Amino acid sequence: MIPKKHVPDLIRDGNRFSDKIMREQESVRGNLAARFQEFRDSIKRDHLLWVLIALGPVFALFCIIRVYPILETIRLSFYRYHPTQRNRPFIGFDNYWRLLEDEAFRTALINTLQFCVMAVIITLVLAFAIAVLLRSIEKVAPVYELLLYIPVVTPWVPASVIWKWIFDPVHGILNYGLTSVGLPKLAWLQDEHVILYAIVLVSVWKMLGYFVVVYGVGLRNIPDELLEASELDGATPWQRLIYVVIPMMKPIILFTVIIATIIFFNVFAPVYVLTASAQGAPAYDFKVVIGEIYQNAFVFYRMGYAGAQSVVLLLFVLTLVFIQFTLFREKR
Amino acid sequence: MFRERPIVLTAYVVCTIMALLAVTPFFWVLMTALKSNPEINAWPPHVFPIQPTLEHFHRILGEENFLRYILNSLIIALSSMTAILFTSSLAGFIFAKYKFPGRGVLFAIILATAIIPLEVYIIPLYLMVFGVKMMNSYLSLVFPFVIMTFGVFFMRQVIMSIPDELLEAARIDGANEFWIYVRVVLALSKSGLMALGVFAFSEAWANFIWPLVVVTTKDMYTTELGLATYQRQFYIEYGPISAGAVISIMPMLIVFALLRRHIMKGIATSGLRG
Amino acid sequence: MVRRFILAAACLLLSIQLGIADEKTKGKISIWLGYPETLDAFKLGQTEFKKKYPNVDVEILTFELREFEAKLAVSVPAGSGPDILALHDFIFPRYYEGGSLADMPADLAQAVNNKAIIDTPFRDIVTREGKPWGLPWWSGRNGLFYNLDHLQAAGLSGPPKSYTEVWQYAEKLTQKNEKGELTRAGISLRLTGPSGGTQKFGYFYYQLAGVQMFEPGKKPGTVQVTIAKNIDAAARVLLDHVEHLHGAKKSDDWALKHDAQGFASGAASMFMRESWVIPFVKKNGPDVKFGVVPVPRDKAFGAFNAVEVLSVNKDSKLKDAAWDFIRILQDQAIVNNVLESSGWVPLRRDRDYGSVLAKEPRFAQMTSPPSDQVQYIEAPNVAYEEMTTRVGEVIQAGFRDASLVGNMDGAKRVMMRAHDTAVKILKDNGNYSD
Repeated sequence: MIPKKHVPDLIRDGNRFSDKIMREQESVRGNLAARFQEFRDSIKRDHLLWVLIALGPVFALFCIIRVYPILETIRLSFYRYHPTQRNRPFIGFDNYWRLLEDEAFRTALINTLQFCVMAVIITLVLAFAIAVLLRSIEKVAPVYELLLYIPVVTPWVPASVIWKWIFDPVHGILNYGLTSVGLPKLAWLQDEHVILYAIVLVSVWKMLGYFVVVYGVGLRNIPDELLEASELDGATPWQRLIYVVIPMMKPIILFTVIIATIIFFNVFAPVYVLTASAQGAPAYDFKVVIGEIYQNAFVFYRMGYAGAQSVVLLLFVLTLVFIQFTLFREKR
Repeated sequence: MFRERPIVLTAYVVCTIMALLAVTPFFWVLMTALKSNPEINAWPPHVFPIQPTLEHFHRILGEENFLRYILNSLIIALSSMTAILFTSSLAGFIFAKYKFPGRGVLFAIILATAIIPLEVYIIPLYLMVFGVKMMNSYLSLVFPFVIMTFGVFFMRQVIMSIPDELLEAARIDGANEFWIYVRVVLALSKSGLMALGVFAFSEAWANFIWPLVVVTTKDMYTTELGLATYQRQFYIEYGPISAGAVISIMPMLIVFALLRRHIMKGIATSGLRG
Repeated sequence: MVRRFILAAACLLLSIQLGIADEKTKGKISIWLGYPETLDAFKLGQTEFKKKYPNVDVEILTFELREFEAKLAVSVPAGSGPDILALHDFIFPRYYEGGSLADMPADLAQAVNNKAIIDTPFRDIVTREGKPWGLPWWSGRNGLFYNLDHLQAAGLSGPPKSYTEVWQYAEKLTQKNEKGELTRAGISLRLTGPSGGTQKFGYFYYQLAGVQMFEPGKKPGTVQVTIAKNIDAAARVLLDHVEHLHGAKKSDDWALKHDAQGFASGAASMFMRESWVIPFVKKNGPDVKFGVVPVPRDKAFGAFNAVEVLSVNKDSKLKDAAWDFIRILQDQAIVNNVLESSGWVPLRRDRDYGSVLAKEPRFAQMTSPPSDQVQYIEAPNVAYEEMTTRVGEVIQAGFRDASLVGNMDGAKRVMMRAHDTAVKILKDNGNYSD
């Protein structure tokens, strides 16, 4: 149990303690042996041994599970690598030249970018709007936040399966809804143009709640006085939103844009599930970057080539994050 | 925030619609799981099953060995959660409360890996596991998920708010650092730990691409993998698939229902610091 | 001492011959299947096997086909693969070349080399320098399935007899609703899933070209691409697909249920697939009255064969027991089960399938194909997965392109692209043959 002492007592004791040490130190200055003693004391005081024992293994794990693999991916991209064949020659930039001509990868990149931009914008704008609206009905807001959060805790695979049935072109309720208002049925997952919107829809549905909650936290932290003051100054709600709320939310908005970008650029599970062509029910093969990496690495076993694709993915993610950082910083 | 009438009204309307849209698909999958096959394919679709049946649940639990998949997911998620809580709180504690040479650099390295998603370096991870012939084992399934960068960052935030004096006082009383870690730090960061624990558990549970790559036999499938594979089969039947989806969602929903306050609080603490 | 030893060995041999249980052999043999429909047959085999080897456990795991091939490819070389390898014809070479196959016992090798037991094209798959390395077990032979009621209602007296008639009949059998949307496909074409799509496109291509798109090359293990030399045939098949997917002659649509599932639910009147469809439709579409005929001919007449070979893993610790299991699988009762419940056609010609045919005469098309029909098998190819996927993507993208209707030049361009894609991948893998 922690000794029960008042804070002033603690501070006084601490001060007394350090005073004592400083007096002792003065009397041994200049003495080599004493300086060594000082060093050992400082280790004890800074608990360097403990730091080593505690942080060492954890940091080692980080190196093994994160740092080494990232570096190794880059290294692999310069080789032709098959896990069970012995011949693994170094081929320089060959994988990268191949990437430039790889139509499938190009399509995947374009698809992924389109999807990411759409999903990020729609999700964040919608989440922000809802979060702002919820502040006007604060008493019941937790209920709404809870309901909106349920899709967030649902894993991607069952969520996609649920929507796959809703999207079914022959029996699904979405098409039923369309036909009952006289609109033609849509081939949600079969039509090459519509499927992008279908996947965006599922992704927005899934992640909306998370951002509503995050924005909610930020909005609640805006001091009421600021808003009241501007209201007294005659600002309309819209003006209050633009000139008070949004500027105060800048850091959180930056945070959410980065997180949303990373999540959506790496989309894989919903695409895998929604486009899996059970032969009885075909779906359009919507390519995304991670899908291509997966196929090249674990179906075709071209691991060096997939490594190059992974490096490209990494560069894209880093670039997108960097762009967002600078964009948001500049506006200040 | 905005007290004007029209805004409050808009708020009620819009938010209610969005909340309904969020929840309806779950209702629909449950209904589908309880309908018999002819009813599933009926047109116009029935909302409620006229003759509800549990046959799809029997099928997916019995024939498809889904219970085993759930067990696998549980083992993996619990192991990962425990490991992450331990490593994150320990590392977070060190970074929060100790000065040492290289602290900034080490923390920066760890943080830098946060934005890099697993998929970028999944190939070498696979090759490591493949090389030591540990494919298709619980260890290999948990292996990449024993640490979480976000966890370290998060616990550091949480622990920084513990007053230094408490630690000093304990030291003066002769406690060693490990005792302080266990008795002081962990005790005082309970709610942070719970939030992180839930997050780590759900990440491990929902993970899809790693089991997809590492598992070679059906008895080691996780729930996610089992469901994804099942619905990719040759012949697609939405009755059992819906039952499988319902079963897959239940554990996470239960965790969410029990621990929602901690989850929300966890987001608050992490969301504050951009 | 020696006499006792000889006596014991003689008893063991005798006991095996007499079918008395071998209690000495202990352990586990594992079997992985990419075709779960044959599970019943294996389970029957398991029961028989247990009588002979009471102390050996048998573990049978089933996978979806592509996953099966992928998992096998990494497990076997790493020494963690199954004891019995149930290998598809075009991946068999990979395991032979990788040195993963155990020697065959003499009696089984003799059976494979015997023309009266195993037909020559199938023996050739498993034989190297006169020595067989696996037992060809069954073949999935393809055929054209048609819905009798639909044909009758459309005034057609029987199934199509030629390639051209297939398309004509498809147009007559298609049904649309008031808005002009398709409600029933005259023929269900393979429109998605590029790897299999290449194969199914080949069903048509062979009848026009007389060769497969990918034939074995000059050296063993290499592959020739025949599309360029038969560009007219290739473009013709593509055009026929496109013209029946867009415009007035539209007979199929991406939004409908396809393949066996579509056929069994009455959403399609005809489609081409392998023999496993027979038990499948009987189970999943019991109201569907269907018939099956060989794939209608054009200039050529060929049937696709997907052959399953049984081999034993060289790393297996219970090789003899594994081969015994394979012997058991040749029993009349079990091959009957394979035919009846999975629809795959067992290849042993010295078995009598009369009892199964009596119950289901439609199998006769598969077990006794017309003598002038060429039984073709896909060329072994280390880059099979990648090549068929990329080629299939080109072809299936072509299907979606409405501008190709009536555009022979455009179709030729698409098929040349498919040709070039295949050549590029083969050259990259070092197994291209001109």
